Amino acid sequence: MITSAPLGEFEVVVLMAVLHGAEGAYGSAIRDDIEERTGRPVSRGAVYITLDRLEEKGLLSSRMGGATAERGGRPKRVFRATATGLKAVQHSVNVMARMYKGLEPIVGKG
Amino acid sequence: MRALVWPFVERHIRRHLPSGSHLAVLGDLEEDFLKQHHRQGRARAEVWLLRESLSLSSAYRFPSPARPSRRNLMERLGFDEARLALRRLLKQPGASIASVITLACGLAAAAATYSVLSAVLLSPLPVKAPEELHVVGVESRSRDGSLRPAGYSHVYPLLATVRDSGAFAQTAAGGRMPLLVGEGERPQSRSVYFASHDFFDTLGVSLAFGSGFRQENDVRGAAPVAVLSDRYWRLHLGADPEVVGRTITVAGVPATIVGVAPKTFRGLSLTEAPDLYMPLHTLVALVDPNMNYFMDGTSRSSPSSWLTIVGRLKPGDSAEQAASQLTAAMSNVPFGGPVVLTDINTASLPEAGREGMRRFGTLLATTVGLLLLIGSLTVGMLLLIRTEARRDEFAMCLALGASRRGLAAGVAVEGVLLAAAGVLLSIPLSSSLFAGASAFQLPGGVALDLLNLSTSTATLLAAGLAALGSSLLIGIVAGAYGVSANIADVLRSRAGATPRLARRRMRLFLVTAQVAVTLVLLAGAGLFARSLSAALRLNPGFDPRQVVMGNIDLRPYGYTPTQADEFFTGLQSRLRAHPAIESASMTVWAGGMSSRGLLTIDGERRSFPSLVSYMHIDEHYFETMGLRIVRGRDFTTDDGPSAPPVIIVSESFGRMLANGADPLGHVVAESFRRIGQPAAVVRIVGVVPDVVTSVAVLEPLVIYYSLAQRDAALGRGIVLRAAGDPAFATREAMAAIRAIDPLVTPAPMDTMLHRIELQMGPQTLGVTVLGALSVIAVLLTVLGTYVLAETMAAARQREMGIRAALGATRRQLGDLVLRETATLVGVGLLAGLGLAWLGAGTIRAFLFQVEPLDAITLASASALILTLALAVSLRPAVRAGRAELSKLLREE
Repeated sequence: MITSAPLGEFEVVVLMAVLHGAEGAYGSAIRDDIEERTGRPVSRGAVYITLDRLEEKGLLSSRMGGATAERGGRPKRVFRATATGLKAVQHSVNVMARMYKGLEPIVGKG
Repeated sequence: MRALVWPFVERHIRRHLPSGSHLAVLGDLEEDFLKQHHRQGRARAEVWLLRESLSLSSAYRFPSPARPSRRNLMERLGFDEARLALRRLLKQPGASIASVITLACGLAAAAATYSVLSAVLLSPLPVKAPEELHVVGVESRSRDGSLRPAGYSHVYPLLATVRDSGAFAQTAAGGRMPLLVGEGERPQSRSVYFASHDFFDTLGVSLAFGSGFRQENDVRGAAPVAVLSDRYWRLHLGADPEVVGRTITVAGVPATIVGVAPKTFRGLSLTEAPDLYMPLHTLVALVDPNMNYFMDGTSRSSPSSWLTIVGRLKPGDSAEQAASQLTAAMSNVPFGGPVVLTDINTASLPEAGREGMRRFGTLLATTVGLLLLIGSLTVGMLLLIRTEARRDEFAMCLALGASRRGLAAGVAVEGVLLAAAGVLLSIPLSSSLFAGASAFQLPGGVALDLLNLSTSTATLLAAGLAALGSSLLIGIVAGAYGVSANIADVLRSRAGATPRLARRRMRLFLVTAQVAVTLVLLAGAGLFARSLSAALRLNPGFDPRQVVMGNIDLRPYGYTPTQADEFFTGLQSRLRAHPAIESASMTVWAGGMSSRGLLTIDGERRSFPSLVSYMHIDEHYFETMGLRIVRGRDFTTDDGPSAPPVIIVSESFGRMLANGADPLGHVVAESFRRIGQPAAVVRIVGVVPDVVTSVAVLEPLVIYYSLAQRDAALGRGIVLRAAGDPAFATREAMAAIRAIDPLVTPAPMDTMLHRIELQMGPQTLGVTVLGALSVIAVLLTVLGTYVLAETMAAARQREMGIRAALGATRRQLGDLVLRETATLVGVGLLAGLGLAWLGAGTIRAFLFQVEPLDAITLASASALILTLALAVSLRPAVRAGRAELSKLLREE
């Protein structure tokens, strides 16, 4: 299902983390990436639920693969952004950029 | 490496997360756990994993856009209602505390009562298949040919007869003896049970540890071995786990410890809890050699009956079959006779105490039921009053669209909270109840102390659940009543209308019920107290508080008669010289003649209705007891060994013997005689008042002999009259005994008053339990009456104002409130009298010289309740009297 509803901030962050992970983005790696880049702790539950929601919206797709001994032989759920997902990120970034335009003197002073 | 908490984590994730994501999430967690483990170490990683899985499940369970706040979580879990209910309860702490305490008392008493009844009546002996185990009783014929009730102590050869008869699949036997057991320096008198080697096996009791004794230990001449009771092992050997193999000195002989009995096993009788178990045949080496315990033909003494024989029925056999087989086997055996089998649980209580115990159980259960009822009534009352106060609030909420169910649930939660607090408090209370009750005795002489009672968690849980359930029910009723309010009713009452009677009916009922129950409890306590006081006033001729009695038996210490005589003479002079002791005397109780025997009085054989005791006393006895000679004379130094034997008799005996005439000068031929000699004939020279030492015998028949005219004995009774504090005199007497021989440790000495008190165990327990309960009940009833009068006076202020405006005097208005209280309490008292009438049969068996429907007790209890209720209603009555319409209107 593709939705036209605007994305929340955390949804955009998760989408971007999936994009950073290229072909190997899965739950733990996505969470680590977000924590590293944003410098704030993120709850595992929030990441999983957001991933589920983004998949439900058609912005992400997932497949199972990459089982290792470290994981007790369990597979990873590897995520990939769909074309709609890419557009949604683009759209959100553009919205932010448009909203930011003209604020540089103020925010810059911040 | 797998986390220790992994099974929990896996189960938790599978339970709370959508099924499609389990594998991947678990894989992520396991992978990250390894990283954490490398980074922080195992312990921290385990904690991290636990927290991670909990936070994960929480996120899936409450998938709100934002993480649920603590407050939201509380609400979702239903804690919010509980928090509000708690806050409401804390607003009226007094009433809440009263409810919780009452409920806790009821619950603790219920749990304790169940434990006592279970230990005594329901499952007294922890043996395997008790229905198969029977104790052998043998009936014997009296002189007139009639059958006497079965006796359960047998001579030793009967054990072989029972075994050889083949009536039982297994047979065991044993008998109890008090012996001195060495613990450190000072030996103490302990109860030793001499049991056949197959005793534990026959009963199906496995030792807690150790191998127990075997057949080779159970032969004459074998080295003594002992199995300890759990109680003895804990109290005197510090629960030493290495105790097996250690030695213990029994009657001066070392015995090797070969095991410890299980905690629940207290022997075959509830009135005796042996400290040690030893092999039957080793008894010979340890006890008085003059006693013919094994019915040896060579012994000069007569055979002793001392064995209890117990057998396990053969599979498929009935007790009747076994009894007839045993009767046939015993038909031509000395001391044999028709056999009666009693099941082992019934036999565990003394025959005289069985019926009393059953009645006592009913009484205890009824009392506890009443207390629980009062507890529930109080909780109900509290909730109802609170609900009444909140009816306006409920009506408003309902008018604004709140659900009735939600509002009623709030009240129900209050009830549950009160009950839960009651349950928590009842746990320590029940433990302290056991500690306090251990000083009491149940009917039949069952000491609570020996029952090793403890409240089982299951019992407390069941009682707690019952209380929670009933409080919830009461809460729901109260809640339903509260939410039945409608806004029109509230508006009408705001306009000044007096509340309708229908609203008050529930509260009136609760207070009436409280008054009724309180009267029953209070009257019960009063009746027990009067019984106790009657028992303690049994000896009006002297002061039993100052008279201390005890016994010293020198046989275990190897004394010869001459040495014993020296010991007692020395002790007598030490005691008489001590300033704490006003007077001291020595006695020897030489048994007596049972009611079945015959005594020759003035040449005529006569029987007496109760035991005739033979007491040998010295010349200080009557002075020490504080008894004056009623008729005739005391013993003098002239009544020596060579003088004609004389006796002094108790008033009751004298009255019966001489049929009301003067007993002096009559002669009595003794019922026993020495071999080859005629029965001694003694002449009555004096009469003394009765000394009641047993509440069961109010007319004691005693013959007193002069100690100087009897043979020396190795054991003597000591009677002391304390100059001041009897406890101090007792301590000094014990010190005097130790000063002569440090090894001699007599049984504890006690005042005569305390001895009588002990016999009134059920009554003392009754006074204590019912007394405490009735104090609580009276307080709660007074509280209930006060609250009722106060709320009614407040609700009827406008009516009172109108009456005052119409010319009613203050007194008339006050009387109105008081009359209402009096009517209410009067109805409750009438209901209580009805309850007392119903319960009269149960309590009758425990009353001593007082009737269950004793007018003075019932009237005093009723008067006390009525007076207290009227006294607390005075304040609301005065307030009602001061009502002024103009002031009320101004306030509105």
